[in-house]
Amino acid sequence: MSLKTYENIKSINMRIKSTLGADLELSRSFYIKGELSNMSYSGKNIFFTLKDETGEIPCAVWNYASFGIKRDFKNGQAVLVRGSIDVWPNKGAYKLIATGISLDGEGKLAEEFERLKAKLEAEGLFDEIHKKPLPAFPKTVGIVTSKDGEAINDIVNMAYSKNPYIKFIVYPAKVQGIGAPESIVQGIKLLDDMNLDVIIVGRGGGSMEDRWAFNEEIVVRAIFAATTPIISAVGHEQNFHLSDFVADVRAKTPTAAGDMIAINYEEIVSQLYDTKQRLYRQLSNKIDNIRLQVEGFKARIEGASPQRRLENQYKQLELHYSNIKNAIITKYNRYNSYLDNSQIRIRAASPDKILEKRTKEFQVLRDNLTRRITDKYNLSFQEYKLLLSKLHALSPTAKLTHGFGYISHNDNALDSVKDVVKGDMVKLRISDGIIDAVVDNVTEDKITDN
Amino acid sequence: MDNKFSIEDAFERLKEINEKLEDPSVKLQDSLQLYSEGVKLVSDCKKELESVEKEIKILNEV
Repeated sequence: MSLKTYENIKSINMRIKSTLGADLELSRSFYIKGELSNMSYSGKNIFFTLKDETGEIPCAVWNYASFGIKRDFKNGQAVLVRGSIDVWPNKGAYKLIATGISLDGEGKLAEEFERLKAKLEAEGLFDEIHKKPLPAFPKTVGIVTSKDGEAINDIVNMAYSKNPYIKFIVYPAKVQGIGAPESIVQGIKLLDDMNLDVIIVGRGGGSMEDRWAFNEEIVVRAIFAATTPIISAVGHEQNFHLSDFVADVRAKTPTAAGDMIAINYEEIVSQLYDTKQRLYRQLSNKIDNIRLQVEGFKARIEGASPQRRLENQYKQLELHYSNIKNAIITKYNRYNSYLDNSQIRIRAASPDKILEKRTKEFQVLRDNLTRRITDKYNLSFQEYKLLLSKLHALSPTAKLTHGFGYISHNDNALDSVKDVVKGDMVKLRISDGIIDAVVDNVTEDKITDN
Repeated sequence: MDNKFSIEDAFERLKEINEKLEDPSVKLQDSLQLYSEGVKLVSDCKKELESVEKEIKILNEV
């Protein structure tokens, strides 16, 4: 028995999963056709088997509502599916996880749509150059739509909410089913002849089949041929229709169309009012400016008027006159005072005046002299007195008082005890006489001035 | 509906009048005329906007 290597289930399953996962065509979205069978709705999800004569494949849709898929699929329907493969390794199973399902009929429609679009585009029907601008203030608006649908109300209510002054003319057309394209075309032609400001062609929401009339070639050509500007307002979704491409403007919804054709009446009126105010103000300003200019001129003219000139000249004359007057007065005063001065001086120079003057001078001199002499004399006298007293002080006789006297021995002044002995004859001269004395005793006692 | 008067044209003319009035070189007499024209235009615009009847007419199916 040879040794075999046994794989386990998990690893085989995992390999299958990763192999499939690595296959980019299978693991990313692809498209597949088939017939629905074994459908069941479970909560948010759908389970079904997609099959054809060659086989079948299990499918699931997670949260179908989020992909816009509705609950109106039935077993047996031919469908187009978009999805990718996912593997459940623990069940050994794989499923197609779908993110889009549509009826195969629709697929055919989609092909037809693309074909027609290409054809008409090539003819240039969609070119910008053919598109007419909408009038700024539509007053008469045509609508081609079903008279029972929601579109009319959407359009009209929206429009009136902005501008209460619009006239609508509605052509009640068939907007789906047999005869719808012809009805729409007739509506467009009729309204186009009425010389309206703008025409809205549209309808409310619905399936692609419901809305198909707006992809019909005759409708596109009718829109193209119309001379009135046309707004295409079909459905509520993001779907585009050929009418949208050929129309002068596309509106996402009928409500949006109503918005487009209505001016904001209050805004416009308020703008008109503002304009009127501005005009008034501008005119006012202009008039004020002119008035200012006029007053400027008036001032200048008056300034230059003969009257003013005359006034000015009078003023100048006055000025000259007072200048002259002042000058003369000044001159006169100067002469006057000069005269007075002269008079004074002359009088001052007369002989008796001179005499008076000289006499005074003489007296002054004399007084001075006298004073000086007297002073000098006094001074000398003081000196004399001083000298005299000094002399007096020095005089020997001044000392001959109060017991003081001159002592002489042999006619010589005695000024030392050593010069006499007992028995000598001395003479004592005092103020009023001479005393002859004999020395009785001699005591030495020097007086020092300490 | 053929109106000789068009609001779009009136607005254009009003813009022109505004500019002219601001221009100092425009004569006073002309300015007075322009102002008078402007005021009349404003009044006409308003009338025009209001002249449209609020009406929804559904044509008989042909």
